[in-house]
Amino acid sequence: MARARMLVVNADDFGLSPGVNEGIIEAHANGIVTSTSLMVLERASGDAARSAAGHQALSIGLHFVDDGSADLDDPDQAARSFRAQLERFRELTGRDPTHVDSHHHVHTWSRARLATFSRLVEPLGVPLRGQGRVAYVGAFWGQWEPGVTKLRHVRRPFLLHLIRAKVRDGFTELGCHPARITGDFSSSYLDERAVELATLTEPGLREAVTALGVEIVSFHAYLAGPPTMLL
Amino acid sequence: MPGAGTSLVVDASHVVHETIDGEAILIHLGTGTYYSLDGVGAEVWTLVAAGVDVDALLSAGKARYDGDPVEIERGLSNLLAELLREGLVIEDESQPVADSPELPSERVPFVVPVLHTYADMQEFMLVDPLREVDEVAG
Repeated sequence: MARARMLVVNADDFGLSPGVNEGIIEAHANGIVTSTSLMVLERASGDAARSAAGHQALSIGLHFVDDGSADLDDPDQAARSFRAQLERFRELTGRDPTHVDSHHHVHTWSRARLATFSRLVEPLGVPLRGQGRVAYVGAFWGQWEPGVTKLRHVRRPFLLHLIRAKVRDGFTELGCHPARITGDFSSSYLDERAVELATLTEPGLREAVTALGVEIVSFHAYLAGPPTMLL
Repeated sequence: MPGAGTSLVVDASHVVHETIDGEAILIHLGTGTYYSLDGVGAEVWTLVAAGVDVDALLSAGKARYDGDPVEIERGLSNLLAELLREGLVIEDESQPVADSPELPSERVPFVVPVLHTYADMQEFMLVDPLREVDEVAG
């Protein structure tokens, strides 16, 4: 008997800009993205929450941002900042997040920080990226070296290789950053986002992933209970 | 540094690898670390993955690349040593020497191969601060 291999495809940076929001919704509606992480302090956060309202299957987590207002190495300050963003998340979406992670993975920058955030997230009963309850795969990323773009790392052949190699029994999260390039934001990681979107919406990709014995699910499936047992 | 007459084999119980568009991409399943080899490094990896022994590999490298033979041997040996240190390959003297290496016959300049690494949580080092985004976006 083996446990099922469940893959959550989670798009970070929801709320960063209208173009990012548009790309994430498109990657969900027409592709394999099943989940996203919402930045609640950004100018397009409200737009993101509104656009997600019509996509109930999309799980939405909190993408915590270090906005500079707190020393995250101080547990009390980290707690205040986290709770403020959690409250804002609830205001925007009307519900609790299905998972928690952070911009630039700031909550994992030290073991102490990860412990602090684990304590903060625990009452929610949802997974925190890097905590180990859900494995995280972050290599679907076009700049393994800073400033050096390798688009093959965000194209289909590598994506399938990655899924084949890294997705094991239980739940795995694959991180991604799709966006429509609409001129509304600038980043040194820009064109790569458009290629990610194109890859994630390629016809036949879902079937190719399924053929690897991997089921594409959202964090809703994780919260619903343990993975299906396969005979 | 792996000795003469030694065979190196991929540690298949821990390592998966795929060459995509000329880049050898290795994943160590035990540590979760990703490795990337381009150019000379990717060519060397094809020989390692084929089970070519160290002597034959160094000979193939000197035949393939233009440059100081001492520098070529040092560069290739250092890469092999790094592959060993990272647990990507293991020494296996019981391995029979494989068929002759099959690198292209055309000679090309030698570029010291570099083993690039990447980790799942490394992305944070690479992206822009949000305030810069805001300034540009207004």
